Amino acid sequence: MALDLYIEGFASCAQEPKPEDFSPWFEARRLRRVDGLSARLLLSACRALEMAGQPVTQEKPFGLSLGIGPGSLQNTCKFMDSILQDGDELSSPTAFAGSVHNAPGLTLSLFLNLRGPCVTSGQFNTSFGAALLTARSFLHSGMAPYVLVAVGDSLNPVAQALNGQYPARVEYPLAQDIASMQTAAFLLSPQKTPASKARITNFDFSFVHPAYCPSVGEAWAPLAAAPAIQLCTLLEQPGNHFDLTASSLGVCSFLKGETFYAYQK
Amino acid sequence: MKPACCIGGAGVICACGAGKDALWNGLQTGRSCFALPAGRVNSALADRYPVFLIPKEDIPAGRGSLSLRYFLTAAQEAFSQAGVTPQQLAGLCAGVCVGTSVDASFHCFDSYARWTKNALEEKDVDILQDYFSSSTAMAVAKEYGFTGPVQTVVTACASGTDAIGLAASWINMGVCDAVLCGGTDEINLIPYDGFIRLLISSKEKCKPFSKNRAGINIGEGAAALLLLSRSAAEKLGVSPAGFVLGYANACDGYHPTAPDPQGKGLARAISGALKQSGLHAADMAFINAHATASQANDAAEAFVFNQLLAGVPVCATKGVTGHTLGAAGAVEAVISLLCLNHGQVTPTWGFEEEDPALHLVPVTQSEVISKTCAVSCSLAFGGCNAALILGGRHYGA
Repeated sequence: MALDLYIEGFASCAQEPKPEDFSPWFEARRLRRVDGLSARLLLSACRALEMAGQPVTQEKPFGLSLGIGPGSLQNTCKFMDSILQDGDELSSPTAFAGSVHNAPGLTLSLFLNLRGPCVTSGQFNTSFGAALLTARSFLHSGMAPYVLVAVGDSLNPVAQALNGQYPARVEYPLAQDIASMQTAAFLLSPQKTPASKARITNFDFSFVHPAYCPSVGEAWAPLAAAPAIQLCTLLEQPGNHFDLTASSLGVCSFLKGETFYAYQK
Repeated sequence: MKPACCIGGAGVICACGAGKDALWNGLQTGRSCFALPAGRVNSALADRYPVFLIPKEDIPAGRGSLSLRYFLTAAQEAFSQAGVTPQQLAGLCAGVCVGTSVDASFHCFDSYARWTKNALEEKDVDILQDYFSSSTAMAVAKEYGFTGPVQTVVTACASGTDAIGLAASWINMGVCDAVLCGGTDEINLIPYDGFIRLLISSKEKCKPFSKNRAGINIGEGAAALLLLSRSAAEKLGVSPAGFVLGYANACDGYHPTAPDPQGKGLARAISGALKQSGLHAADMAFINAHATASQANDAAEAFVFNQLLAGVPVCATKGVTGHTLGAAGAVEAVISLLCLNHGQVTPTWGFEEEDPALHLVPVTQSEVISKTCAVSCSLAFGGCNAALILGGRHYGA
């Protein structure tokens, strides 16, 4: 069975979006209650849809496959802060609802009017591989004509502190710099269309013993977005082929493909 | 034609105890461990809201989080039923797909509390490091030496259903020969306080589909299914305990914690799963409803069942297991399988009084069934809806 994936559009977001970033699609007031992680995912997703020539706000049967590292940590910490500061009786239900890994899925499906399948995977750096695998399942089982893959991380003050205070104790680098604010999104199709920008020809996502994982250097912190950002960068470079290997904690993603276009900013 | 995705074996642990026999007994008698969690959950609210706990004597010892230990306990039973060992799968492409909610979340509350006071202890570093360097599915894959895909599904309360459905798609696409899948979750302070503060927890035992339903009781547990491709099952000499016939998921895009009142996403998920299975409503022996006993959930489900699956018996089992969150869909898939293989659908414990607004009365006494497939569905925060069509061991015979 041919299980190729075609990239129709892609985009990344490196900073906290400003309300005006969304002005082509949404009124600023609609975004008032959207948390940072969801807003960054949403901006990447809007840009990827637009690049693919797809309607951003119109209702569509597209699927959504999210890869989130440790979830919306800012909301989880906010909920724990509310217990510590105000007690169990007054802890914040809003922060609790926002702490659920799948909460950004609601934001994206609501704003982008997505009505297809929606699944979130949460396994740090390997979340992107898992999200691609899920997208392939949705597309090749006919559950959706297109699937939006969106990947991102929430700024993590605890890991930052761990990294700073106990570097020798941290087996894997928990680098939480600007990368932790990044998100990326890809619109995928199971077949080539006039809008296709690239084709993923080989995709393998497997657990192997860390000893057998190729060394990929320091670039790979255990962050969901890191390999996705790397793929965006590869797609923007000249040349017709890309080859991406990401590994973390014993799980490897091997991804190869070809591009059909010359990227223009 | 025989289905491609076989269930080689299944296992479970929940408030009824460890194993499918304990669960089946609980489903027949309505008895399980429903208690205040004082001692397990350090909350000022812990003396008012009971939950469904795994009995103390059944809590597995060992390393790792409770959720991981629960899942490994269930997995062991799944292997045992299939009559295979993890080592026998070494030559095959074997993957792991586990749904969870609590186990993937940053719930290191005590360590976090010390961190906020700048009083982190040595043990906290290990706890936090453990959290940031693993996931449930990876830990399971390591335990059994599986080298196929690994995925931790975190679609809140639909995670277990999604994990089984995605695992089945790996088998159907030829990505894997075998997948250990299911769901697991434990009770801790965060979901305990969180659901109470959302005002959807009940102080009484939950009453699915009842007029006087007053909310959910959270619970804990795990369920594991060993899925095999037809050729892998034949090669291993495994006689299937059942089949995964269809799966679909669809989002509401409606509200962070409430379902679409007309269950539009759920309707698409059920329709999609039926379409994938090539079956129709009339082929279904019963529906295993999500039925949390919250006002909104049960109303949305009833609306959809009346529209799409009118006349199909509905059973709801959270009155015995509680709402096991990320494990719920998997626990209920195992319940569905048990019902199909026993030829009997179990009563809805907790149901008291018909709600005229729902136009739905669930099964209240054990009923004999002759059809060999059923629907099991889950709804989740974030507006996710997922449905499985499962076949029993006699499906297609």
